[in-house]
Amino acid sequence: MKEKLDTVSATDRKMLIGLHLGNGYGSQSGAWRMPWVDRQQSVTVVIPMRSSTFQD
Amino acid sequence: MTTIAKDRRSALDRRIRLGGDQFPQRIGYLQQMIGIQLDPLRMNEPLSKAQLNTARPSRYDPRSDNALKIAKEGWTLRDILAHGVIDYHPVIVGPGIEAADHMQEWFEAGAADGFWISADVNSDGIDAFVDEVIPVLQERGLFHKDYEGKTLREHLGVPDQYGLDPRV
Repeated sequence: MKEKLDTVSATDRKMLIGLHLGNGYGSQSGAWRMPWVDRQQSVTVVIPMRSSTFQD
Repeated sequence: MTTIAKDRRSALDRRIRLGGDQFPQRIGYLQQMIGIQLDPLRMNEPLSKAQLNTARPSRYDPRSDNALKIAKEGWTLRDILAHGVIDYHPVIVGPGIEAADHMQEWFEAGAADGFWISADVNSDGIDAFVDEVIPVLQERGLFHKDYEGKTLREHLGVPDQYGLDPRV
């Protein structure tokens, strides 16, 4: 989960956006069963790391 | 909670694929939210005029107004549930612009300083959000285009301090 704190004036106020990763698969209960999802996702460290660098 | 797809229909179909087998159970609660009887054997039909005229949003669940509004748009019972009317958080079902509009509205009204995004399926939902929604927010001047620093520590403005002693 990433977020950025911004202390600028009210007119230049920017939104904070954080990412909820949850169990690693997604917020919907059927997420892990989707054919394009890797079953190992929630036990593998590599895949969550990919998710957290998406803004680079 | 986002399902970003090219249009409302594809997003609804995706949500049906993800959780449609649980919809018959949810009808029980939807009934209470809008105050009318619903038939699990009629998931493919929109609610009748008579049903919609009798329906009233429940005072006890703040999601009820939205649920009834979606029902009145003429969606089938299955599609009403696919809109995520009973989900715990506001649901976006459609193209990225809908998420951007919703976030902008809440942000500018002062209802929130920001949002936690919870994608329906992380492996492609996060990319969909980043590719479709973030650029719109950036264009509208609502979201930063660049980070202030190179490290997470700098982004958060956290001082270099390891432990209780501020000298370290």
